[in-house]
Amino acid sequence: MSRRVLRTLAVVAVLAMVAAACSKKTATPSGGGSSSGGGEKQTVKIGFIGALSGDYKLLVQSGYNGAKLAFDQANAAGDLPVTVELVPFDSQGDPTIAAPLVDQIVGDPAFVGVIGPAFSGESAAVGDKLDQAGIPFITQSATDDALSQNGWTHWFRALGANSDMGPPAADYLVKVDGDTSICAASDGSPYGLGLKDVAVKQAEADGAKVVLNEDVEAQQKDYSALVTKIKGAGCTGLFYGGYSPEAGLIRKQMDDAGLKDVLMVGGDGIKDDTFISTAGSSAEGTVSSCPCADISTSTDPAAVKFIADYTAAYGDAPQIYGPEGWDIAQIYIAALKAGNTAPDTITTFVQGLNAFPGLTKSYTFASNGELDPSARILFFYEVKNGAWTVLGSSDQVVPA
Amino acid sequence: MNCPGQLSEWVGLAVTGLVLGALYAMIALGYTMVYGVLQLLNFAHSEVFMVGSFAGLYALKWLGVDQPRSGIGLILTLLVALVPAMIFAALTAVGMERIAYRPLRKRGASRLAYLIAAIGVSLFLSNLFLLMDGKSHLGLPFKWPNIAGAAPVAMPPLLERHQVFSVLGVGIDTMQILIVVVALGMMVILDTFVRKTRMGLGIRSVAEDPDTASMMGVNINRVIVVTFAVGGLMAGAAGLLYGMNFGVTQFNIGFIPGIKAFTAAVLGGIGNIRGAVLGGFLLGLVENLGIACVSAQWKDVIAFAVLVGVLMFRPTGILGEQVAK
Amino acid sequence: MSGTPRSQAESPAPKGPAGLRAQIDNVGESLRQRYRALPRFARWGITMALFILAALLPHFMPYLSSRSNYWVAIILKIGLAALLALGLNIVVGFAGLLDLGYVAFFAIGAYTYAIMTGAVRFTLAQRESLPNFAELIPTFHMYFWLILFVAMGVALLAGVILGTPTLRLRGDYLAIVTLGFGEIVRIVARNLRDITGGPLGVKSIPHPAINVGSVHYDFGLNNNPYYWLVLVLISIVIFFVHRVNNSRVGRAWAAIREDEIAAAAMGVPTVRMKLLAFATGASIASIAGAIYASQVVYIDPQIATLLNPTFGSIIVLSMVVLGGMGGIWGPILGAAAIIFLPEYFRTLGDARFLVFGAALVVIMIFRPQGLIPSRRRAAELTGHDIHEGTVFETQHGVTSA
Repeated sequence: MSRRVLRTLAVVAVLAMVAAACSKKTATPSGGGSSSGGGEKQTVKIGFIGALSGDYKLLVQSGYNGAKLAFDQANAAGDLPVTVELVPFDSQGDPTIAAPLVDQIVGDPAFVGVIGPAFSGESAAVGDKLDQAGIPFITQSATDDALSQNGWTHWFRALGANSDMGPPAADYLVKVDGDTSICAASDGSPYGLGLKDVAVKQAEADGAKVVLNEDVEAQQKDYSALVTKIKGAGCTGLFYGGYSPEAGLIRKQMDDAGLKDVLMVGGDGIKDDTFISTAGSSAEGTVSSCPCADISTSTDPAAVKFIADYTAAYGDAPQIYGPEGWDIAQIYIAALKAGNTAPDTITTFVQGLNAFPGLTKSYTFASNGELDPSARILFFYEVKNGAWTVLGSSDQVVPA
Repeated sequence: MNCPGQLSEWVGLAVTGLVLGALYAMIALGYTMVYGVLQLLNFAHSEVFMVGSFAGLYALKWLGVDQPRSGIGLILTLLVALVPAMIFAALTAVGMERIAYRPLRKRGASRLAYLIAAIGVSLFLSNLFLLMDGKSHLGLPFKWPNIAGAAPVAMPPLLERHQVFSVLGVGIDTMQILIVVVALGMMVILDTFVRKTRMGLGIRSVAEDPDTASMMGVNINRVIVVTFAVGGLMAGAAGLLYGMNFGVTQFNIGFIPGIKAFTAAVLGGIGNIRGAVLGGFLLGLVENLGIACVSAQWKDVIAFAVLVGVLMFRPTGILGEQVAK
Repeated sequence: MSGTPRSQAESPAPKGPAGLRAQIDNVGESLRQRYRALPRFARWGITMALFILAALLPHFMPYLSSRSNYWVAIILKIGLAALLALGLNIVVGFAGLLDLGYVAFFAIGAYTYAIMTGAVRFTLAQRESLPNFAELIPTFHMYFWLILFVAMGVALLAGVILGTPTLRLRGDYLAIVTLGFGEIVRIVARNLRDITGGPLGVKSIPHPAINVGSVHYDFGLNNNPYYWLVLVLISIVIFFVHRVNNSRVGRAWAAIREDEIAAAAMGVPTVRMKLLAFATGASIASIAGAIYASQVVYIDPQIATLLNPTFGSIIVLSMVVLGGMGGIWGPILGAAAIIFLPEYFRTLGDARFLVFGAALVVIMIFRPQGLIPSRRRAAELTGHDIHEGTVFETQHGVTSA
């Protein structure tokens, strides 16, 4: 008797779960983009491609939130000629997942632009398709240098590349920390590996010796073999190209193995709270060179308002690439306001931007889609008292 | 190929390998015992391990551990944290047997059905912990408890690592000693339990021949539950130690050690308790020494190459398949 | 297994949810019997009509949805998944071998195509910024059709190399060895950067083209031709499976699946037959991989992960199990359900695998034969006698206590 009850309960529970999931999901599309007054307005869609779930969520979610906030406010203000809907495409940061997602954007004429893809691998995977379909795509955080060599017309990078962030990180190790023998490691991802390669080149150019050059598997817990090798190599500084879950563990396991004095320097991929929560007290002193802006102490009224609105909407302050997401959304909003509601005219609009004022920087794009060198920024951050604190811009921190 | 020139680096890799091997061995025991009595490869055993590490984590938090302890305080705290880690893991193991495997067993389902169900249980449990991040999911009208989530959760620092003695220039620290001591202690207890007690006799008899065992009055259902529970106890303790050693736990923490321990169990001869221990230590040692000369990324390739190599020459593993021996 | 008559398993208890299930099965069974009762030409007609209907699907789409291209993309994805599921079904459903590294063969096919078309060489040259890299850009050509066979051959070879030592072992070991093989393929693809392009992936993989006499057709970015290609391949596989199922080989697979020792005793060359199933499955996956690479134009080692949400080994296994092992329509329906449902309801996000996991367990307990059961498989999976006593399976068979 009780067995049958149990079984029935199990079936009901699973059905309820599926049904609940379905009812919620079906409600989403029809309910989107509702806040416009006219009702007659055409709806255009902007896609957001990035890791909205999974291990790398914290590096991307804030950018989505920032962009969503911008579009919600623009729709509510009512001065747009169209209604904008931001459609999330969760790639989990994996190129293989991202590739099929793009078919949905290319196949739907309502899409006029894309924010992202957030990471370099997925950008390489989907770039050809988006470009051939003529849809502008502006990335807020993909930093692989090779992306701009693809000859894409509709691609833009709203920040510096690995070659902007890797070499100063190596300079920091050699010139500021005074390391003469350096270890380098990466997670073997397109981003991490590319970043490590440019950093290694720069460190060697600075006259330091790279005594260990290793790649590890991501998503493991046990990095004891790498740590043993670092110990054996006897370096005083480690450059790590990769993301925070692995970097945090490596930092912690280095401390455990008595390598407290080895300074760890990474790129933007380690500058989030996951790094600090994973490494715990071992995180102290870790340095990140990041083409991301710290606006938390800014007195610019737009920045102050953004932080206040963001906090009100999502319950916590914007994290890494939140302001960048907002900025890119503002570029699209400006394009739409100027009457550009087709993908190709939006591309032309973005190409023609001249020092478009954003929260983090002024945007001017070169013909290959890269940010104009004068507009690129790079800041150094250090973990102090359990939080990422800005050390200064790269020219302040690293002597020329 | 650039192999390390110093002996100390080789020894260092060997030491971390053996410590890892001790943990693999503890997990492998669960695989091997369940296989012994049920001929089931319990893929979900890695999640038993994961539950153990989370239970241990919350026990440590509940005990207010925020900085390393020492002396008798350390030992007491560790024992108190081990209890929930082991019990919750054992409950998980028994629960999965009760909910997923027993209905299959009653119907005499095929081995394939068992394996697929085991994979399902494993996916379900690890993703259950992934979703327990204090937010709403699946459109359900409540917030899931905030226990695990996607990001790694740091383990409270119970034990301060410092070097106790050194072997050939390689420091052995407190954590490494703790892991090996606890692992060996539990293995000895388990071995004694299986060889000396009535229940152990029951387990051995079921592993040998379930028909005859049940005709001789052995309660097979009880033997199976005990087997799952014992495997769970070992995995739970391993989960806590693994988490403490590497500093974190996460919803997917069981996946890799689970596969490795599984490999270790097959390596030593699945169903064979001493084989699992041997396989665990051997695998930890081989995969760590194997990457001395090549990139650490090849670690898993080395582990599986060793497995296939051993199986080609000894199809039943190093010590052969039998729980009774 | 034991000699319990099959009819017992086919007459389920008519109460509660079991009654409903029995009714659904009865509808399916009566449809099947009516189909069988039709004359040969009528059966052919129905089959052809189904095929033409499926082939015209992209042309109906604009009438069904304003986002027709999107839905064609989804149907294409379902088609590729169905091809994989049918391939894995030969391994798991027919021969009863649990292959947890199936995606490795998919990756082998994709990489074979990427390497042989020169896409890897181009990617590496571009990455190194070699002066002449633009000249190396691979263009679409007829070689696709040739490479398809090469990819098949490479996967076949890999399947035989992996299978020869492991298929001699006990069936359970295959699961762990294939799981390891999947990881090895991924790690090798990551580490041999000069051959595979490494973790940075391969881009600009060329599309197929047809170029015979005055016929010139470039597959390009349009999804329709890929869909038709996949449809033709699925039809070939269905035809093949149908023929094999009723042949000596099909009966040998069934015998091995049900009792390997007995099969061997009856003179079935078990290792060779298992190897045949394994290698056939591998080559089908490899073809799917090559088509995938040519359509998506970018691949990287992550396609070989176990949990890749579209083509990962576990996902394809779920398709086969959900749809029904050992049949033809079951795996296709399973593929359609597992690709379509998350798309339609937007993504399940992080909850995807929770639902899959629960579904696998629930299906194994309550409907191990899947949505569309194969009649031969159903008898075996549901067990023989159902009563509350302890039924215990050992290596040697089912015993009751």
